[in-house]
Amino acid sequence: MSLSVLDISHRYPTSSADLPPVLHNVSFNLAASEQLLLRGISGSGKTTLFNILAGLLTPSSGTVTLADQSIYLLSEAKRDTFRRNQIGYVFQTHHLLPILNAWENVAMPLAFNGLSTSVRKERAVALLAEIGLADFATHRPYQLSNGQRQRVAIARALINQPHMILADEPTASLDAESGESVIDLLQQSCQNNQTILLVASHDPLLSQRFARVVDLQYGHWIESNKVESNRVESNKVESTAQGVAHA
Amino acid sequence: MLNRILFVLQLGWRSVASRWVQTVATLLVIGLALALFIAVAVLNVGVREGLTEASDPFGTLVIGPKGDAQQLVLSTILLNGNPLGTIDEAIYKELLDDPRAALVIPLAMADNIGNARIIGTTVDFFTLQPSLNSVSPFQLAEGRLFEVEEHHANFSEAQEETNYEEAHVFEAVLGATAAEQLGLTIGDQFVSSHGTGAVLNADVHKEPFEVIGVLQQTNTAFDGAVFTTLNAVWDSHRDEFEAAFASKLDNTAGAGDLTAILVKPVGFGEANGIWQSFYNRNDAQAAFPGQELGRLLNTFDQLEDILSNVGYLAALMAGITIFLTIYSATKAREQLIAVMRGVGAGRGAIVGMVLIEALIIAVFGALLARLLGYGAATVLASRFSAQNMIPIPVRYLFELEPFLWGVPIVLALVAGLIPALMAFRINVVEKLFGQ
Repeated sequence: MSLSVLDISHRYPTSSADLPPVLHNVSFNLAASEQLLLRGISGSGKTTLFNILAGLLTPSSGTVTLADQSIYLLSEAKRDTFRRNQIGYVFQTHHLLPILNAWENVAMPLAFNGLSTSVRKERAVALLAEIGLADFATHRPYQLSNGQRQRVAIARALINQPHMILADEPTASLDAESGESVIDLLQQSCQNNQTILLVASHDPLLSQRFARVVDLQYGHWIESNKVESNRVESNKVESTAQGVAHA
Repeated sequence: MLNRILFVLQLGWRSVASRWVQTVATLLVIGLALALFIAVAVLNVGVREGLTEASDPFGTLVIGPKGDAQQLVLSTILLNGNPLGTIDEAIYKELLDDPRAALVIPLAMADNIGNARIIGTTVDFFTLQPSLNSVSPFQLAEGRLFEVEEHHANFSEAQEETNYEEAHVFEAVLGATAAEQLGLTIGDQFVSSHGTGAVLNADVHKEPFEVIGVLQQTNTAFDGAVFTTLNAVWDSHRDEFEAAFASKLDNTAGAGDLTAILVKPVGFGEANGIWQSFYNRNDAQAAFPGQELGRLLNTFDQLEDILSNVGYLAALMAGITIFLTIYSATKAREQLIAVMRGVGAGRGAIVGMVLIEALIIAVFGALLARLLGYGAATVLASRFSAQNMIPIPVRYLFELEPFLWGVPIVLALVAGLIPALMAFRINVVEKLFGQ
């Protein structure tokens, strides 16, 4: 079950014609269980790319194929179903429904698949137990900490055992410890389920945790870093930080 | 499919419940608007049925003094308001000899005890029946009726028979409500005070009445009345000054006077004949109770029309309130709706959720309307009954159900349509990421 992205370019209809496209001929492949970190400053096109990968935003050109299905050849209704079952999306903030408790939020994609309440509850509670939130299954979002909410949101993305998880700045609203724990959870879960994981973040500390790191610079896909070079870069960041501290 | 629908219902329900202040306010607006329809319709039907039942036994014609025919009927049959005045006993005697009249019943309303009006009549009154083959509702619950006696308008005749300066006791038969309210039972004695219930007077007669019988409940205004003989009424007004005073004060009967006569004609033609013969007279008039009550009920119909139009306006306002509630709720949840779409909810599910919210409000508003409408009708009917001694039945109007469900559901669907379309067209990317 692989992801194949071919020549994706995108320009928003409202943007000026003389501005460069948000995404420019982006192409890449990811195999099952492969994990990728997408870096880039704000406005670099990370979120636009994720929206296109999620089937939420039709690209100006190019194709996205996941599990042998070209996403944009599907009708909108079928794309909704495909996204529900094959793609898990973790947003920057948890975006849990306040009217549902933790297990109900986790089970929401199952509900739209028509599963009964008992089956939904059983699967959602089991998943919450796996991520250490068994005791919080009936808590409403406002009764949870930020880190717990984000973990519930990750469980929601995982509940249908999708082929791909897209996590857009999943640690941005968390403290360092919670962020670490969330990334651990994402990586571990995707590894266990053979799920493709794409994480968009501008957190330099995350680079060392991914085997594949890509920079998106003004819509251009720049892939060169591997694990070793990431570690070098991470060390550089640390020594720079120390230099600043000494100075 | 069913599980999906149930989940959408659950989302709608939770969403409505989470905004309970707005929801309760909207429910009240819908409830009150529809309650107006219910209360007006129920009371109109109740008044119609109550008046019909209350007037059913009282013959085809009412003979009384000249004046407003409707007031004559209302004051005679429903004991509502003061009698128009008095007519001479001679008219009664004339009607007794009239072959066109099958039953002639004199009524002399004079005094009262508490709120109960004392009515002088004959035992024939207790044979009045709603239709030819039906049983008279004026059945004794206990005791007996008063003896049949010759009428003697001239007090001196009576004085020869009995020494009134000694203890003469009049016989009285009580209506069921009067007995209950006065707390009187067989053998109890009471004295009357002059005037009808509407014009109370401290002038108390010294001749006592003794309760000899209590009637069963009849669901007529006469449940609150005290019956006695004509002689008792006339004798208690034997003082000429008192009689004159009484007549001037509130048109009640003095000695030899009657306030009205109920006539059951032999047939329809005879009824018209009697009516015609009174048409040109100066001393009395004849009125058809059915016709006069029909006029009164037409007034109720006009009132119902006016209130119904107010109700339609209120329903329109309720529709606008539903729209505002659902619109503002949808607007406030655009991002969450986008999230739901983001995790795979189809547009149909989102539209369904918004429409279901509107429908939930409409359905509960309609249920609340029944509570408020029938509650208000019950309270108003009981107040009317207490004041007029005429039971106003409040019954569930099943014929209103299609209207009472149809209006709120159509209003909800129309009011929910724009918010639902708004939810349908939400740009997920824009709402989630501001792009």
